[in-house]
Amino acid sequence: MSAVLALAGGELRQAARSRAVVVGGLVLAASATGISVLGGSAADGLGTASLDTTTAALLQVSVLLPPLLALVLGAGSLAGSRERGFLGMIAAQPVRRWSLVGAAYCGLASALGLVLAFGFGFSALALVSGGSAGALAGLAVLAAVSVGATAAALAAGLAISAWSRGQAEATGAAVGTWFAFSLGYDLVLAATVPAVDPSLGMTFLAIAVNPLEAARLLGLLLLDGGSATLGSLGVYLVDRLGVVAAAGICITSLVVWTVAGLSLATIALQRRDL
Amino acid sequence: MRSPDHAPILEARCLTKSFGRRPGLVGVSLTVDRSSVVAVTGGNGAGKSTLLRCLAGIARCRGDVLLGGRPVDDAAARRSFSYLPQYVELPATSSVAEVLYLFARLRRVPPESHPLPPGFLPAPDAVIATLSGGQRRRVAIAAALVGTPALLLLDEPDASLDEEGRLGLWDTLGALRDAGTTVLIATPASSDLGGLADRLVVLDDGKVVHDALVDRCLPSLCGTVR
Repeated sequence: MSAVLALAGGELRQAARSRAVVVGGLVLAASATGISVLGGSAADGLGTASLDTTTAALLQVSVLLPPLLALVLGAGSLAGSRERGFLGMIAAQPVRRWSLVGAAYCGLASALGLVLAFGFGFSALALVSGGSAGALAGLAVLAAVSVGATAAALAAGLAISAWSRGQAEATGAAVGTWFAFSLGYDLVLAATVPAVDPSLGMTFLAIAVNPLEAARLLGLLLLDGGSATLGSLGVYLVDRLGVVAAAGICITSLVVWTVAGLSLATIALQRRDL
Repeated sequence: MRSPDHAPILEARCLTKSFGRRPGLVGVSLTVDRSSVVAVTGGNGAGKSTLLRCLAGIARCRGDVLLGGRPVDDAAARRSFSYLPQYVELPATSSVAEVLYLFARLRRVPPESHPLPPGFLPAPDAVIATLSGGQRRRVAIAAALVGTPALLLLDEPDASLDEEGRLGLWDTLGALRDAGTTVLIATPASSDLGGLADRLVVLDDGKVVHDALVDRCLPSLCGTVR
């Protein structure tokens, strides 16, 4: 555990000093604050029974921007360290291979936690100073959903990193994965859903394969979004299982992505040359 | 079977590794006793770095590697050695002190527990990104020597060092050898190790083609390594 803490501390220091994290924090803060303040004047807060456009926009930012940062940081971590020869030097020390993955995850998750705290914290301050303190509960839900999506994306990024041949390949694969989750998924869904009869298994699979969709749906369920915002998959799932079970499936998807990502990364480090 | 205390510090049996169709190591066996300096030499692509990476357990090879009688993956075995790659880029935004602290934490020893002479290292608060290539190499060497493990696997440690740094390194490694440490140095055939090496192992195309004490080494095979 001492080795994991030492390595995680180093990873956190490196990430906290990187421009990507600083810029990510500023962009998240600017986006969340801008949407909250500008949209707040047109609505009575976040998380109202009829989901307003402000909350929908904030939810999109919450489940897309931090996971993009997590995927890119995770992808660059192990692959970059191996390319620079540093991973091999560290792996020759008295540390287990799994602890290299665990330390990278803990260190980067801490750095991303700071980004989320800064981004959502700044937005919360803006809401309170603008007299919209009632919206803080909705913002907290968005932050929690963002944490789940970011945790899953970071694990996926580390898996990509561990299996890639170099940092450039890993970063490219991470960005491609993000596009597939955020854009490609919707295109595939739009093309296939009208053509097939939905079933519970297919619906579960459709949500399970995309952690960002699982996080988005979870956010909508927690914010009490109406059927108009849930989408066909969400509506079907809620109709068949109810809100609690549907939320449970979304949370399970995020947990499975996190565990699977870390497991795949560990397997790669145990099998591959460092 | 010998007990770990009496076993050779390093025993490699039939190490084989290939990169696609190209052989990296072909059945390399090597036994190294304690308190010695072994230079592993050969031309470019002979397999020197691959051998050290296999010995350090960071490249997967067929065959066995025993450190002090224990498999290289064993926790006690991993505490007994350290490895310096031929090429390593330390975290650019870290300071010298932070790098040494990290390796000291991993080995559970104080950061200042390296045997290098005063003046060898840049200032502790110097940031890696601001250092020259030679200064960065000095920090990497210090990181590998933190805690003074019983076996040092050093891949061209003097690369980018100036004359003063090189002499300081050879003096330190000589003193460590006298105190019981074993050192394996991968080095090109034209290197001058300052008379440090006790034994030369020559590789060619991934095979050991010569293995002899320095004073019995054939110049045609061992080059000018001393």
